[in-house]
Amino acid sequence: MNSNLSGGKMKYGMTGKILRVDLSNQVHSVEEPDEKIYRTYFGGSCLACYYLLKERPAGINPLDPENLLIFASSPLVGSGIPGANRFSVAAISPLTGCYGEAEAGGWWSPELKRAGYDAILVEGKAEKPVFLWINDEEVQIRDASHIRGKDTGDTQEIIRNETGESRARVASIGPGGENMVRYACVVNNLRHTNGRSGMGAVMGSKNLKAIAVRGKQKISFKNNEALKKISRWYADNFMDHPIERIIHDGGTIGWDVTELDEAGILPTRNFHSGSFEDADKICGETFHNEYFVKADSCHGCPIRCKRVARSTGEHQVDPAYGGPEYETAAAFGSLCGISNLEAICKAHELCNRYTIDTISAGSSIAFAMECFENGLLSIQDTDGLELNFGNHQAMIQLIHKIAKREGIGDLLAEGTLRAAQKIGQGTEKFAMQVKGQEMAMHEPRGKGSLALAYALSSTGANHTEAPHDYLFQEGAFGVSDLTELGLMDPTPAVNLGPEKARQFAYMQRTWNVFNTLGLCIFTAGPGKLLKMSQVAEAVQAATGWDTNLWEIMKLGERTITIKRVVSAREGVSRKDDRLPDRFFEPLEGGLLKGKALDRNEFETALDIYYDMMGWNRKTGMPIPGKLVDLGLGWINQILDQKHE
Amino acid sequence: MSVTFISIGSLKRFCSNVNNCKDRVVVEDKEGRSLNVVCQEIGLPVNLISLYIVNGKAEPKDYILQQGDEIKLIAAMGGG
Repeated sequence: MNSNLSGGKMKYGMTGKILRVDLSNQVHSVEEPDEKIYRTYFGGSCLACYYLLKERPAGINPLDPENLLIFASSPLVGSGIPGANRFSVAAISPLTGCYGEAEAGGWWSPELKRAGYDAILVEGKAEKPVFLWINDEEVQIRDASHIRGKDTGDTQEIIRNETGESRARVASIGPGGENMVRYACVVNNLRHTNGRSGMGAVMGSKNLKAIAVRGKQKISFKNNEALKKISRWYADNFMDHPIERIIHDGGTIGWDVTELDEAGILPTRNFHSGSFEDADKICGETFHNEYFVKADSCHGCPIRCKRVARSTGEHQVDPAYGGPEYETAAAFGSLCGISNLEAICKAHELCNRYTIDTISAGSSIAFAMECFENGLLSIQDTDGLELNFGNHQAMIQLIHKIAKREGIGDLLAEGTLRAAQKIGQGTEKFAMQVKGQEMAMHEPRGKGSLALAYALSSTGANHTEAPHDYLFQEGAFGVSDLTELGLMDPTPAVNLGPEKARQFAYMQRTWNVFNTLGLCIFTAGPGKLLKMSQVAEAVQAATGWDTNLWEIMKLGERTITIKRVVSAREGVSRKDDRLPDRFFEPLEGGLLKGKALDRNEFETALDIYYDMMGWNRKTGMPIPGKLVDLGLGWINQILDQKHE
Repeated sequence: MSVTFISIGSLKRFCSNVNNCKDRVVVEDKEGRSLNVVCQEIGLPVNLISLYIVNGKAEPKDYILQQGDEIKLIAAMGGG
């Protein structure tokens, strides 16, 4: 088989068109990159990093107009492959100062491709609020002054009315993004969230209120029959796959709370403990009994993992904004010592209205609670709020204040690292963050691979960097999926030895390549139904390329490496690949009470990972030969890196 | 002379057919035998179990059962 890569315009899988929008000058243009660019970077986060490195110097202020904000779809999106509906939003992050990225599902990404574009590059800053209206390749930059200050629900409604398109897919920011909360997110269709890294704040800094898209064009795929065959096979089999069945039946909130609590790894009271005495009050079973309305889905996905919540009680939860994922339930629940599930559902709704990340918001509130309980924030500092763990009314008030940057909310809108630096008095030890981004709701003292993921991710603490450990212990369900990756020996969840470092490095490629292919971690990869070799088959069918598992895994490595280069260029090095001190101290409660990470073991695991990845042990920068290996040799020139 | 198996959270639905019990299975005369062998015999989904907690302590799957043991079964836990 020849490479069927003739050069020229992209023919299948992608539209071949990239939209560039200059908000400062209110103009736009269309670019048609060579197919070789697509074959190297594919889409999503890898393509976003290509543009960030190629077009922006190091050291720009993330909230200045110079920052480049990228919305990038991927070759599998719209193909009908379950879970292939996602897109990346990327820029230099105002939360971390290094590479920022967040993915979301829903319908926005397939709609963008049907409208004729693979990605949007947003430059500059509009003088006044605007929204972008993309309707079957026609692009308008429209005034949004009258929408400023509106939440996502009102914004979507106004834009749909004004464009006359009731089915326009709207990705927007609310007051959280406009006020540049450093962990503001982007929300599409009110329920799907590019949650992390503060991409909503970058939108706000550019006065970009929303991007609305409507497309009726057909996306051209090379082999539709092959794609349908995979999709049909998936639909026929997913209910018999136990993990897919668990996610389908209970969503993420039904999968994790109780299990993690029993296992002693449910983050509780700002990671002091791994067990929450009221876990049963915030778990999936309670949610489904009391607040569940229906399951919801993303484009073309039979799993239907999304949950919709409603309450007519004290907190009046609006189902239009969906319902809490596990991360949200734990961030506003056990992490804050809160057992009021209705308040947690309300917190979720507010975050989707305001566009702030539930993980960083919950973590910032837990941080403030710990400061308050230790006398490092007074009642005067907190605008009169009794910020004790467990106070759900105060938690709700804080979400309003953070989004509006009112009072103590202005401090917490900066994220835990900056807030701790301002408060001082040793409060840095309460800031549970890496590189400035708050930890997600998973306990690294019970998951060795996750400890490495948190420390090594280029975006700061990130729980979706690699599949988690418990599925891949001896005898566990996911072990049979390891062999196609060349991993023969399962490792215990809490292990952090050399074999765990190797397992993490390989597994990290799978979830990272999904962010480049627009694929969901709940439908594919180790432990899920669609195997990596089938993902490669799907890419081949979508694009017509003679690709295979080797190239897809190499693409995963390329994605990790190019992200690392973006962050390393901003100054990230080995010293930043760290974990908060608390994780090297014993857990105070739960099944793993007394368990702490071992510093020597952790550092040795980092050494092994660096060596495997071809990263300089001291600087953390990928070495010149590794960049050449990955087809990224041009980066050596912009870094002024030479082979020694 | 019995041991009790308790399925936790999402594992419950996979254990509901075992001895017609929703989330708690009591079996007799299994002392001296290993945990995973007995689980398999009575139809519990061993490939889904990532953690066995015996009387409040995590134990390996080849743990030898003792009279009166109470075993919590935890399904594979994910992330995301």
